[in-house]
Amino acid sequence: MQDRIRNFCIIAHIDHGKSTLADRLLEYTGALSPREMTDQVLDQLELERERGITIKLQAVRLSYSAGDGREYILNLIDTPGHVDFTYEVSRSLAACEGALLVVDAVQGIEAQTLANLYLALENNLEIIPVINKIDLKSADVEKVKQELEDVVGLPGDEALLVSAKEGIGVRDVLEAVVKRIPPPAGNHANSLQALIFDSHYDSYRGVIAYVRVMNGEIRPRMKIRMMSAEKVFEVAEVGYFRPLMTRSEVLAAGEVGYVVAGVKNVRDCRVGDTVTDAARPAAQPLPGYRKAVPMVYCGLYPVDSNEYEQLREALEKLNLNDAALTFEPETSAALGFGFRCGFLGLLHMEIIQERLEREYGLSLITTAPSVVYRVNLTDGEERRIDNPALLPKAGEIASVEEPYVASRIIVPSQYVGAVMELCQEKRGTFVNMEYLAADRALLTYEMPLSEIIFDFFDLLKSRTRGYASLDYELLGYRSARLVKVDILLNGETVDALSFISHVDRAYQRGRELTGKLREIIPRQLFEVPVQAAIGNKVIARETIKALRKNVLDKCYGGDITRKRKLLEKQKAGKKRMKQVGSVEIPQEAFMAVLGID
Amino acid sequence: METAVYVHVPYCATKCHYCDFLSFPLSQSSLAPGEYLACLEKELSLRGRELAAGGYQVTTVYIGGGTPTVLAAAELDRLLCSCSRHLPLVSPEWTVEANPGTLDPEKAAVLSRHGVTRVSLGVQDLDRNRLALLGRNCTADDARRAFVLCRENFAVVAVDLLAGLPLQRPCDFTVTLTAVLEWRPQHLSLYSLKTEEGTPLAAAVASGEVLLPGEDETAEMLTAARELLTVAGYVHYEIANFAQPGHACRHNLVYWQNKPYLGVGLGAHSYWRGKRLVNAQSLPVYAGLLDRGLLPAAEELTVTEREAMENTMILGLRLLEGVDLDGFTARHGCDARLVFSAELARLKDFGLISYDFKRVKLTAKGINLANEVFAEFISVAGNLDKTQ
Repeated sequence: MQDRIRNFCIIAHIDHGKSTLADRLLEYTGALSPREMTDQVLDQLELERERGITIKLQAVRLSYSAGDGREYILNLIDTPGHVDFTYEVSRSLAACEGALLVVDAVQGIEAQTLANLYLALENNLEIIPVINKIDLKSADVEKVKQELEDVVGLPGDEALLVSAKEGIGVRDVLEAVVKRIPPPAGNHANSLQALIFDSHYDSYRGVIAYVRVMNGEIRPRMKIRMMSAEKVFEVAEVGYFRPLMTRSEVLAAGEVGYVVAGVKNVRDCRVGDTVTDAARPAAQPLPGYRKAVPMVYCGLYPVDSNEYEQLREALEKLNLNDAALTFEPETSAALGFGFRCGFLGLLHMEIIQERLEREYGLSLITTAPSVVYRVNLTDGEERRIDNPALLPKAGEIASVEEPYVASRIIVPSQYVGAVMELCQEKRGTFVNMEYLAADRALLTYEMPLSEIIFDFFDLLKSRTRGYASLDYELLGYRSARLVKVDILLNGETVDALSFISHVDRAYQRGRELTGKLREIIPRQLFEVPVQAAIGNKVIARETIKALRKNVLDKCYGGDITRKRKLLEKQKAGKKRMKQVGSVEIPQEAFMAVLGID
Repeated sequence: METAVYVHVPYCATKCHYCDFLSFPLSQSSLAPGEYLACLEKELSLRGRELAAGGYQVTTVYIGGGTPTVLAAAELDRLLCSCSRHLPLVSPEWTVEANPGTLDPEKAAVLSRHGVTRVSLGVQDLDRNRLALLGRNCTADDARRAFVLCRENFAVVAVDLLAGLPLQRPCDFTVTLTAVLEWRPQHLSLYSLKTEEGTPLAAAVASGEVLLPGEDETAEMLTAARELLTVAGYVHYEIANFAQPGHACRHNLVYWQNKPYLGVGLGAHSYWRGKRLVNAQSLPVYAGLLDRGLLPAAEELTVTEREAMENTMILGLRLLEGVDLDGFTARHGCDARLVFSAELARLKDFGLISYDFKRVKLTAKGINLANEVFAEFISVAGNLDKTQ
C-alpha cells in the first residue's frame, strides 16, 4: 500500500501558476468534475482569490491510474506563496517527499522560488522542475532551463514543459510524481507519529487537524497525545480530503488526512506539533516544531469604542484558524481601548485587517506597524518594545537593538544600480551580488526589518518597474542609534502616531509626516498646530488652518428631507473619524507614517 | 389659517452642468407640456378642495423648476389660471422663477395679468465664459434685459447669484455683484456652487478639467459680498438671502419657520398635517395616479416630535434673527435649551452660535459654517452603514 502513495507539494513564486496547475491536477484525476471546478479551488478564502495568493494550506488526495497500470494515491499539499508564511511552507514541505518547482517560462527564477527551493532541499525533498506557461509567446524555455542549471543546479533537460492554463503536459507531471518521487518511508507497526501541518476550526466539531502520518496509524476512538502541547484527546473521526472531507477507518504511515478529536482550542493543536498514541507514545516528537513568532506589531482599535467587544470576539475567531496571530489588550490615550496584534509580516497584517473589516463589519483604526525592539536600560533591565509609544525616555536607555534581516533581491541587471541605491537609503549593508544569467542579478543585503516593513517593497517594485522580487529571513538583533519621534496635535502628544526612527532620518521623517498629516486631517473649527518632537525638542511644525466655510446650499422647495440626509452623511463621516482631544482625525492618518521615507 | 403652495415645473431649456434637481430639457420630456399642465390642474383641484374645506387661505405661491418660463405664453396662462381657479388665494405673494433668455414681453404680460408679484431671476453670474463652463448659454446683456423687463412688470425682482464658480477669483465675484447691485433688485440670493454627485460638473472636477476655487477664496467672496450688500442697504435675513427692508421672501419664510405647506407637481415636497410627502418623481407614475383621481404622493414620512424639533432648529437657524425660544416652547411643549443643552453648549464654545433669553442665532463665524451647526442637531439613527 505504502509504495503506492506519493506525497508532494508545489512551490512557486507568486503568479507563476501554482494554483492553476493544482486545479489541472485535480481536474485530470477526476477529483472534481469540470462542473464543480470553481477557478483555483485550492484558494478558498475570498481574499485569497482576490489577491491571487494562497494563505491557508490545503491538502487533497488524488487517485491516479499511472502508465504502469497501477492505481496511485497522490497527496497534494498546497503551500502559501508569500514570505510572511515561510514557517507554514516549511511545515507542509516536511509532510512531503517531493516538490514540483514551478517556474514561469517568461519570468524565470524569482526570489521566492529560491527561498522555497532552499527550504525544500533542507527537507530532503525530490525536486521536479516544471516550466509553466510555455504557451505564452514570450516564453523562453531554453533560458529558464539554463537558469535552473546555473542557479539551482538542477538538470534543465529534466524540467517538464507545461502550460497549466492550456492543460499541456499535465499527464507528464503526474507521471513524474509517480516515477521520481519516492514513496513515503515509515512503518505502520511503530508507535504513532503524525505531523500537524495545518488546522482549521469548525464551529461544530472543533479543530480539524491536517496531519501527515510518519509512523504507526491513527483510528477513531484512539486516545492521542499532542506531544508539545501535552494534551490528550480521543479521536472522533479520521479521513481524507478529496477535496471534500471524506471519512475513513484509518490513517496509516505515509498517508495524509485529517483528524477530528474534539479539540476546542487551536492552541492545543499547533502547526508543527506531533500527534502520538497516548497508550503507546513515541519516544521522540518529529523534529522541527517551533512556535510561529510574530515579526510585526500594530495596534488595532475600533473607530466606535462600543465595538471593542466585537473586535475581541472577531480576533478570537480568526485566531482559531490562525495561531500565528497574537493579540493583547492595549490602551492608547488617543484611541482608547484596542489590541496590540502581532503578525508574521505586513501582508499577514493587511489580510487580518481586511478580514476584520469585511467579514466582521468592523470599522478599524490601524496604527503604523512596528518591529520588536530590544531596549537595554541603564539599570540593566532588558525590555521588549513592540509599540513605539512605550519606548522609555532617552535618559533611561543604555542601548536599543533592532531586528535585521538578510534580504535576497533578484532583479534585471539594468536595475542593479537603482536597487543598490534604495538598499543604501534603507540602511542596508551590501553582502553579495551574483549574476544568475547575463541579464539578471541576485543581490544580498543585510537590512533593518523596520525599513522593509515600511514601504520598501513598494519602492522596490516602482524603481524596477515591477521586475524585482524580494525574499528575506531574520538574522538577529543589532544595536542602532534609534530615537522616538512624537507627534503633537494642538499641543497634545498623540501616542498612536509616535514612531521610532534612526536618528539620522528622524528630522526628515518628522517633517514629512507633519506635512502629510496637514493634508490628511481636515480643517477643524479652530487652527491646529501639528508638531513632531524628539523628547521636548520640536523638530517640525505645520499648521492646519481653521475651517472657514462650508457650502451655503439652497434648501430647494423646502426639501428638508434631502438636507437632513446630507447632514446625516456629514455627521456619519465624522463618526468614522477619531476624536483625539478636540481634533477629529481620519483613520488613514494613523498609517500616514508608512508612506514617508 | 394661512398656508403656502409650491408648484413644480420640471422643464428647462438645457440642463446646467451642476444641476441635480428634478428637471429636464423640454425636448427630452416623455410628457408634452399640455399633458403635464392637465395633471397639475387635477392635482390643484384635489388640493384646492381640501384647502377650501379646511378653511385655509393661501398667502404665498411659488412656481419653481426647472425653468417655468420655458413654457409658452399660452401654457403659462393655463398654469396660472389653474392656480387662481383652484387655490383659495388671498392677496398672495406670488413668485415665478425665470431664467434670462426665456422671458419675453408677452410672457411677462401674462404673468403680470394673473397677479404674479415677484420674479426670481436665475442670473448666477454675468461672465460669459464662466457661465459657459456651467452649461449656461447666456450673456450679461441677456441678464440685464430680462431684469429690466421684470422691473417693468413686477413689484419685486429677486436675483440669484453663485459664488465659487470655476475660474472665479474673489475680485471677479465682487465685479459681478457690483454690476447686479446697480440694477437695484429688491432681493438677492447668494449660494455657493456645490458639486453634486453624478453631474457633469462633478465628473469635470474629478478629471481635473475644471478647477474650482478653494474654500478660502469662496469664503472671501461671500464675506466681501455681505459687507457690500450691507453698505448698499440690504438686510441679511437668511444665511444666503438678502433683501431691501420689507422684501424678505414670505414663501421661503414658511419653510424656514418649519410651517406647513403644500407642494404640487412632479416630485414636489409637502409638509402637511405632520407628514413629509414626496410626489412621484417619474412622469408616467405621476400622471397615472392623477388619472385615477389620486393624490400623486409616492412617499409619506411621519415626522416624529424629535425630528420636528430638530427641523425647527436647523431651518430656523438659517434665519439671521435665529430661533425664538418662547416660540419653540409654545410649539413643541418643551424648552430648546433643555432638549439641545449639549449641542448648544458645544456650538457656543466654538463661537458658532450665540443665545440670550429670547433667541438662539448664528454668529458671523457660524454663518459660513452653518452646516457644522445644523449637523449638530441631527440625531443620526443608531446604526452606521458600514459599507459606505
